[in-house]
Amino acid sequence: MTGAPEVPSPTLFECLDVCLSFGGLQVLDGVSMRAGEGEIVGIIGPNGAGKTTLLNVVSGFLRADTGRVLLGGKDISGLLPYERAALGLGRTFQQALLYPSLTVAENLLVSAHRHTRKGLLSTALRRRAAVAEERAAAERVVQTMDVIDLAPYWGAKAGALSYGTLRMLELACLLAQTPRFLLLDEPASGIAQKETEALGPLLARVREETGTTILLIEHDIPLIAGLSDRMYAMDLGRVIAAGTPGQVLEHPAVVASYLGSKAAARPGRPGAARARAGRARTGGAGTGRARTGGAGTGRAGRARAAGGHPS
Amino acid sequence: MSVATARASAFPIPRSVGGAVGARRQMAVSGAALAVAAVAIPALAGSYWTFVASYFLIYALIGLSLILLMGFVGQISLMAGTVVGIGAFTSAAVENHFGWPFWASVLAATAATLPFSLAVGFPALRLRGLYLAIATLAFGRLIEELLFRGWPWFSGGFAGVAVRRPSLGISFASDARYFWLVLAFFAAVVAFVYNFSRSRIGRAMRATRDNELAAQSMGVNIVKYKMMAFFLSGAVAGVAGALQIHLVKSATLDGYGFYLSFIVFIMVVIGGARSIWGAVLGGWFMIVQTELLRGVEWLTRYTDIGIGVGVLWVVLSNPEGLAGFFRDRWAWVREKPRWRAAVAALFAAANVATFWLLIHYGQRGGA
Repeated sequence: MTGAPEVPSPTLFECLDVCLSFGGLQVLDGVSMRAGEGEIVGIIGPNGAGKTTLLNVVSGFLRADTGRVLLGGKDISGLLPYERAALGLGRTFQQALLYPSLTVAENLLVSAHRHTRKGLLSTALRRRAAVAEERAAAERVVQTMDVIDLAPYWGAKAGALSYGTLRMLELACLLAQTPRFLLLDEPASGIAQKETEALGPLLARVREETGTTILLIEHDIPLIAGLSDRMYAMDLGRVIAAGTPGQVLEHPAVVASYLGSKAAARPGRPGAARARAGRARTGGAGTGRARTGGAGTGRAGRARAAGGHPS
Repeated sequence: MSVATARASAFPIPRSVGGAVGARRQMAVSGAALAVAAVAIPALAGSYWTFVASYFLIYALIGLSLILLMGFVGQISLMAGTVVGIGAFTSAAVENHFGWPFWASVLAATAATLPFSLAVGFPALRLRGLYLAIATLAFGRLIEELLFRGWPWFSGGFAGVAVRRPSLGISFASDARYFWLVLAFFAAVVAFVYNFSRSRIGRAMRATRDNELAAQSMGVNIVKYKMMAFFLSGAVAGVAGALQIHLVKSATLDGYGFYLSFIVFIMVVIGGARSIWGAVLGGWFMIVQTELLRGVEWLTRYTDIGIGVGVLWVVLSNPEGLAGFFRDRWAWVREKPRWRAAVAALFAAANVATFWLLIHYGQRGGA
């Protein structure tokens, strides 16, 4: 909505020439991206393009073969996932991943883990500082509730929530974590259309209130185009286009490989380009296998998107 | 709901948020309950039942050590009884061979479990569920063979070891005095576990149990919290072992190991692995209730059947065990306290009356 900023904001996140292969398959082939402070950067691309794999490399669940990941100028390529999270990197997964037997409030408090320090002894002995820290964390969680209204579900176990509410809780958890840099993997997947429509303004508000930088994967083109300051398009492990949402969606390579036809790129036609076949990719070796099939289904999906969808 | 009213005030922190908030009242209530137990049980129950009460508290501690693993970080262990043996034999050995005082021997028992927690904890990081259960079972058997059976200096061999109850200024030799000692240890350990379980540490552990991937992506060092749970579990089992061997005063190696591990595992399953209450309720069900029914001859043969039914009941319909069952009943009472509290009180009174009748009908141990 805001378009590309006139003066680029200082770089917060950068990945440089990231390569990763599973067996003989080049899943990421020299991917370089950057995101400035406070920017929302979107990534689009067909299934098997390597988007989720890239997110896994950035968050530390996968290690790149070559290339570097920088956060705030610091090379984080060698850090474990929890260490990256402690530096302010937050992420969601394609399936909402929370703690089903913890209450909504406890889920939020776990998300605020990195803002608390006290150890076993001071909490077990109820030292004054530990109690004060717990109270402060609880107050922060209460504030989170004002942004995303989950108060009615407060004491409910997360496992008892509906899927849409769970995804909202996931976002609230990210707010409680207050990451400097937020990775969102298809936040609109699996939730109802009405909730999808609420998601755009919600994410914009998250950015506004926390100043966090967001890197976002989404197949819902109107949503991602409306939200992103800049976009990248990926295919077969490479970045094939970069620029403002308008530039990327008009780019011939993107139209050819992903959108299928120019008409599909026009905002306001939800779902025209949702090539969503065969998405069983969450991590590790599974990603490799899924990619092998994924590249195929991806192409099949594109064929279907081009021919089958009324556009 | 109370949430709505809480939200209306200036800075509302509901009790479900922020573990350490609002715990003071609970601590006062449990402190009072412990004080009553300390006075009432030795005074009213007689020497034998006071002994049983100590026995029950020690089993609850052993159960708690397993709950720290199963309930907190979701790791199954079938070697709890072996770790208890390590604690028991260590405390006996340092007293008998080196002449250490009781306090030092309890510390030694706790410290002795640490290398074993380390040895089982690190491989456990890569194992899950049934495989972890089998690995701990095998490791426990190995320790039994090498340390218990294979090292008579440590375990007393087949003859067993004997210890004396401690005397520290005042003597703790009598069952009543020793009950106070056990009660004090029990209260300290439970308070310790309760406090940290409601803090960021306990939440991080339960988050690790529920979802390792998400926990990591939110900055939780899952290796650290799993190892912490293994160490704490071992330490609690070590203390329980030291207390147990001083309670029974003599022990042989048959008393520890797989059989005890199995009993405690069932106890925790029935009591509920996800709550500290599970250890207490499971201990009550397995130890006290069995002991109460022992006095009634025609009932004795049915106690094992009762335990079997208890396990089935949990597996089929009540995954959170007695702790979850009573929590739900408590919520039911709280909903409409006026008449439901009366029902609950009536039910409790009927239970107490039944047990009173059983004790006096059975007349075991001259109660």
